[in-house]
Amino acid sequence: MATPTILIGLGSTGLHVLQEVQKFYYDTYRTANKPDNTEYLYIETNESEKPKSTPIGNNIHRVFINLEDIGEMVEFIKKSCNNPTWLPDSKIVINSGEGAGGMRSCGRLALWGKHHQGNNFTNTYDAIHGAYSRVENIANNDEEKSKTTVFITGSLTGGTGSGTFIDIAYIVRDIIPNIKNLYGLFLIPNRPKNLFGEEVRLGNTYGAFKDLEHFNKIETVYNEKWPSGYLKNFEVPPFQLVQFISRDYQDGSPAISSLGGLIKMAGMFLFLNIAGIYEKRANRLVDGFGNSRIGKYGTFGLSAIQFPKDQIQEFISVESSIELIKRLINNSNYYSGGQERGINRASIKQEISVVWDKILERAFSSLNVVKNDLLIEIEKDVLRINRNEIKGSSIDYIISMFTSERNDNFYALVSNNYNSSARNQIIDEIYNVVDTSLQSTQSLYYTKYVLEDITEAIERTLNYWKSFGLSSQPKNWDNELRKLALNTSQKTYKSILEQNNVLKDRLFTIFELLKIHHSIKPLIDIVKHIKETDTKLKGTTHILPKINFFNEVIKKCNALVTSNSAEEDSKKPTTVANAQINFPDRLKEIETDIKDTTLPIQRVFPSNSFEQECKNASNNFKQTYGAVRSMSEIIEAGNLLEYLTDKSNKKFSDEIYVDFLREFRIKSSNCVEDYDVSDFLKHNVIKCLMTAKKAISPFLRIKKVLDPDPNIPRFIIGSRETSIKETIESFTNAQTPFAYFPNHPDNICVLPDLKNILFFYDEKGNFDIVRQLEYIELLKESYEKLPDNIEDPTMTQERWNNGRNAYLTKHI
Amino acid sequence: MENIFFNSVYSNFEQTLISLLLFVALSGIIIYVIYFVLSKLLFKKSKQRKEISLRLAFLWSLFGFFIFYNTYVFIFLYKIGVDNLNFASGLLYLGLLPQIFIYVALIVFFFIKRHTLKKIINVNSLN
Repeated sequence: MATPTILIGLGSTGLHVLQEVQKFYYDTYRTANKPDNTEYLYIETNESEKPKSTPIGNNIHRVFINLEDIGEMVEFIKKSCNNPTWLPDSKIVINSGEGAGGMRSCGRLALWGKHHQGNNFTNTYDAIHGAYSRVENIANNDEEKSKTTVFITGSLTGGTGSGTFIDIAYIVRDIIPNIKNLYGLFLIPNRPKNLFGEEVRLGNTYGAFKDLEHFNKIETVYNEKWPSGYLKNFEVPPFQLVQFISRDYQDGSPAISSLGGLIKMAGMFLFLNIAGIYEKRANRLVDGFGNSRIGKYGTFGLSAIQFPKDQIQEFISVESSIELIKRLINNSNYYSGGQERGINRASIKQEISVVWDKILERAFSSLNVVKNDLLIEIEKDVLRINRNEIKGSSIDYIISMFTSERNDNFYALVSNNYNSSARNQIIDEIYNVVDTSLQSTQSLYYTKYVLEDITEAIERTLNYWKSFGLSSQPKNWDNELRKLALNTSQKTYKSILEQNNVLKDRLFTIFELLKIHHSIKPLIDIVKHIKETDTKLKGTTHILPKINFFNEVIKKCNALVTSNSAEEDSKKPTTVANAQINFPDRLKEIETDIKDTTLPIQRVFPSNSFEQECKNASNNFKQTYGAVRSMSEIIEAGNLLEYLTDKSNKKFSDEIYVDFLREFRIKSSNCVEDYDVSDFLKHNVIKCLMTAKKAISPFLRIKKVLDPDPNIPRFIIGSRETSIKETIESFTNAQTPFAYFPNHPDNICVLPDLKNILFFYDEKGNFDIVRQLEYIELLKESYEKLPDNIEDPTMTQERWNNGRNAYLTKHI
Repeated sequence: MENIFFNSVYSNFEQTLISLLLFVALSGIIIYVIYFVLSKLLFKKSKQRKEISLRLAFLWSLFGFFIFYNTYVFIFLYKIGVDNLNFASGLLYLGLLPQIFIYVALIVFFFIKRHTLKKIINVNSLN
């Protein structure tokens, strides 16, 4: 069993790297996002950054270190931590922006802070401790292998990563005293064309380098009183090895075009570690450290030949998602019984008018029974009146039966019955009509029209009732009742012995009118609820939908299938936190990634084209699941209206994006066949050799020549030993022989589940980042000198330097 | 009795008045009987208000009586013989006054009742 591992991401970049690790792991193994003995954790000051799920969910635990009340936090640290020298003035850090705002001291302050919403330090400590407990509990008989290894990753350019990386390392050392290895993998800026606008990122990186250099010195002791109250002394350096990578290549090849590309490479590296190369690396590194061939700083080169099965699956999943959303928001057609039909507004109106009449009829019928059948009670009264068995005049008797002034008559019975059941019945029935329409048509426009037409039908009914003088006011009812009662005594049809039937009919009519009188207010409320936004009407179980709900859902669905990003944005990694997440942009991102020649990944296809592979996969998908996309593919037998209501109560776009992609990704997993890249390699040795050579050039511009060293890990990683050996042989026998990866067990790493890809990995070390980084002078200048172009009058040289420092107050 | 129902000759005003009253009374009785029967038989399952059903039954009664009355008129003319009637003579009309009155009154009454019913059905009315 592999070593228990904790991956800790710092800041937004740290999260994005972990997302890539999780994604690679899922793409390779399909059943999990991580090995059982591995934990992902990320620490973030920016609340809007949240982890993105794979189709089977998310395993990245979030620790949000809140910068809510900076003044309170500064005071707390001053009191409980002996007023540390690094602590910034609260005036400086207030309004630093979202997250740590690019200030290193602000990032560190966030980690140490405590305020009314919680204790950031304790939360972080507990989260790491929790992760350690979980990985430690996975049984392992080998004592050495059961020791935990921790990777801390992130960027040193922002505030969170560069402000917390040393503290986090020591917290880890405090929690895991017998830690096997503690590695850092940090992304640093590439060589800038000029300093304009880059000063903060470069200055922060330099500050972080200097802090790290300081704590790496033998004589340095980490001596801090932590916010938990404990005084901590560590004589060991924070990290065993810190690897730096940037978008630059050592050999001067064009830099990786986007930060997303570099994050992908960092994610690939960490994924390979948890997937199995770590043990092989660790074995080599032991020798390397022993022989002082590595030092405290390292970097690596990584290249791959890949059949991008996952990207093809994602591409057709995104296409399917777009297709399904377009079906939902199609305003002219809908599907019924597998047939596409036009939305005919007139026919919906007609149908709904009949439906509404039936709803009302059923609601009125339900009012006839309260314990006893009220119609029978009325019949009994009719006989009493006509037989003259009543006291007083028949008109007064009839008025007393239905007047609003008594609470023991038909008026009171109907009123109670209406409020307790008939109103809910009407709401439930309207809900059911809307629900059934949506479920059967999966058309938001069709359903919206149904709801609009129900409203129209209700309004028509109300106007009709009002036209003969009925209202919901009890006083008006009593006036109307008097006229009706008077009418009962005229033309009684006694001559043809129909007086009982006629009176019964007239009293039934009054009873029906009484129901109408009681219906007017609830129906007005229903119409108001459907048309307006601020009212809320609930039936027995469901809240009645609103027209605005459908408008909103349509608008949001539209946004999901409308591209809104500029070309530059598409290079950034997409996160769920991105406000305007949408499917077309994701398509562009996939295509951009596939066609990105600056990445050291060579994409190979059986048909020689990504487009053709997508087309083939799409055809397979349609053959398996049918040509028309349906919501049942997402929610199975679930209820669509409930699903949409639930999603709109949350972050609709993000939730729909994740759900659709997840379900279609699961479905599309069998639509793309694996492709053994070694087959491709056999016929395209020269092309593949170029890719393999890219691994020799690490992602860092170091002035020193980094020669290959047998003590430092260097290997080809693939699914089969034979195919790796064949690759090595092909390279050795090429026209221009390439023997950088010798045919030796140390240079071969087999990960059986690693289908469709062949990696070339070459680690480098034994350099001094502070002195040998090619553009270190630019970093130093940015760190030391307040930029000329800053217009903020409050920004002084001192404030600038304070912002770049987090551990030591001055490096100059 | 035959003199009353099958006589077209005018004798005097008193006789004509008696005939007229008798015709009106008899027509009333027959219409009532038909109406009574039809009010029990027609529109049993109708969802209309009872009053409308009864008014409709009354119109049917008038119509039924009209058929019956036309049969009587036919027999009456057959018995007298159309050739024996002098349409140029004013006395003929005086002699046939009860029959003519019932005929016209029946038609007028029918349309009045029909109009009332139409009004009840069409106008927004609560009862």
